[in-house]
Amino acid sequence: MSQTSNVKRETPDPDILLRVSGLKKHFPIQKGFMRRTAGYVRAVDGVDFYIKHGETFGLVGESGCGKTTTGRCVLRAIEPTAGQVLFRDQQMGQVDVTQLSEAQLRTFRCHTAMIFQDPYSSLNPRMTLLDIIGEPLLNNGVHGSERRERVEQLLKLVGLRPEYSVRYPHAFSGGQRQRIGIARALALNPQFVVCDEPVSALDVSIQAQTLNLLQDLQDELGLTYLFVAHQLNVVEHICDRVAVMYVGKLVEMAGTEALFQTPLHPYTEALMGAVPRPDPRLRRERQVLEGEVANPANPPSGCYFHPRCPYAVPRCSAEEPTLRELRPEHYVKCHRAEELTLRGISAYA
Amino acid sequence: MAQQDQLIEVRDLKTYFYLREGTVKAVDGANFSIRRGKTTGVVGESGCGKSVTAQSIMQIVPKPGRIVAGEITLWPGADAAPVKITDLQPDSDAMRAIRGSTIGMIFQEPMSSFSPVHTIGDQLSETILLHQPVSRDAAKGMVLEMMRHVGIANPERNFAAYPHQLSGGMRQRAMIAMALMLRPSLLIADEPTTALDVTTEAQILRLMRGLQNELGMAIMFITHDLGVIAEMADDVVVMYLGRVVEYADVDAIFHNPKHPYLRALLRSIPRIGVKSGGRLAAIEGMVPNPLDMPPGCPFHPRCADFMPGLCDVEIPHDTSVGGQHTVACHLYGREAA
Repeated sequence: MSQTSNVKRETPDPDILLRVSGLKKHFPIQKGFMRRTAGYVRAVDGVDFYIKHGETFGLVGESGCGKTTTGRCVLRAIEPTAGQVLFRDQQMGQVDVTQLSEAQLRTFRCHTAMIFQDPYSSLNPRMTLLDIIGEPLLNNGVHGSERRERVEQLLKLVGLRPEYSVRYPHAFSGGQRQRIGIARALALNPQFVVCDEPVSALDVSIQAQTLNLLQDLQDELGLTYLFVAHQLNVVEHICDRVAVMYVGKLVEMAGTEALFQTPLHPYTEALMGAVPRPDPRLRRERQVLEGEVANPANPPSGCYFHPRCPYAVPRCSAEEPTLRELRPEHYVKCHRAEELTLRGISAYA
Repeated sequence: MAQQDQLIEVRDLKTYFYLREGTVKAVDGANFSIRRGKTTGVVGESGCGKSVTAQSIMQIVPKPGRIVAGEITLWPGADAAPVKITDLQPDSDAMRAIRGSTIGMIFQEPMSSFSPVHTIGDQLSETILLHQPVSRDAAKGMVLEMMRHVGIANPERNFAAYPHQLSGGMRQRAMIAMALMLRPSLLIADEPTTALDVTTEAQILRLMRGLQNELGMAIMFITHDLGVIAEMADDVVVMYLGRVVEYADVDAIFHNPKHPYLRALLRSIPRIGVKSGGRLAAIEGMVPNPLDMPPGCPFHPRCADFMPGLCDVEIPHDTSVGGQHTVACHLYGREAA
């Protein structure tokens, strides 16, 4: 069983902004009075992917699959256990994020940002918008009227009125709060933004506005997004390339259309089949995936998906597949990918 | 629809919350019916009154809210007399008998709906022991059978499990088992799959459809997800800010929508498998503050078809646009009004 990545990494491709290899994050499970470590939750267990300049890269999967943890490790919001995160910083050049010193990390954090899922808990209720959005500016030596002007400019950028800068978050609806969170993320002109389920907590009629805003900002500011989400329709709409995660591992990665139309992994096929479609005329008895997501503290042998996989053969429980490039830029981690013909999203239309 | 089809009829229901800051008209004149053995979907965004409508039917509106006007009628069976739920006291014996035995309810978050300090088995048995004169052992037998029915693996072991020991999907199955224990005629499901993953959601939706076919109960399915509505509902109630803006069968809702809100909403969701290319047709603005409702039609500040002098003055009434399809919008049936 090889843990090395097959995602090509030999030549530094100028298109690539971020390359993650062998990323792991294991959380210890502590037991008893002495807090002895009884095992590890393998939240992220050897993940490889790359993100190109100016694109939106989607990371999808069910809860507990490690997609949020991956997003946080990439920005070193939490310390990864192992692996390499190569980032082409606009100032420092190519750096390995996992090896950055404190000082370098400060520079790195000026060029990256994060947008959170819950617009309620991610804004301090005791701070005005000026303080919330201006905090990163303050930390980087922007004060007084210069800071106020920048905050007002940011509010305008996300479609809020500049006068709002003196108000507190409670005066705003969920959609407006998410705009405030976006303004804060953009305060220092980042190159790269991790969007962690940015529209999941919003009402349907507000989701579309927010997605449009994210796209407009990307065009205007040349941003690159890592878009973590579980809603497949949103991911299909906004992402250029998508990776699917299952129990801490990346099982498939491809361009959005290739992934949705011609998936190569049985889990991706199952996800496509499970999405409820907003058209009663498409209603039919679908193949429903049985069982439950494996426990990342005690994963099954071989391919983690084999206990639920309708195509599993004995080899699947014995040997872990590697992620390999089966078609150009279409990676899959499945022993049987060549022989299977799986149904894409159009099969359900 | 014929009288004998009807299980629940809601007429001009108004449920208000009297807060210090003012009155929130959570439900403000809702009209619809729930057909026996069918699924009625109630769809709308947060704060539209869909959950309060369900709480009104169960008479469990939390204080300081109460039903201030309207009628909710229940037809328990072909030979039984109709019951006016709105005439019953929330804590009366008659209402308690309806809750659980005629109408069951499941909630979004099964973790907070179960008691954390009692086992699943005890909580499920309690439902039976409260309503039926059976022994503890007999109740346990019924519980085990129902647990098997809803697809809980290893019922004997899980009978003694505490809620936190089950996964989200299993807890939702246990919740469904509890609600169906007394074979109610109506199951109210308030966002039952919102907290679940897609593959688990698909399992639960399939389970609910199967149980409905088998037990013949009606389902009132509350959700904000139009995909789930399309999958599950026979009839659909679309709510916006306490009002029913459109009410029709599921095919008409998706293929012949009338209200500008519903039309805009259907346009704004990214369609999976459909190359949308570019921007979404978003609805501008935001849902108004319920304490500061716009006059006239509540949707007029965001509406593309806003008619000044009419929509911002007069509240539109439910207008029939053919058959059972009604819409509350000034664009329709002016001459008839």
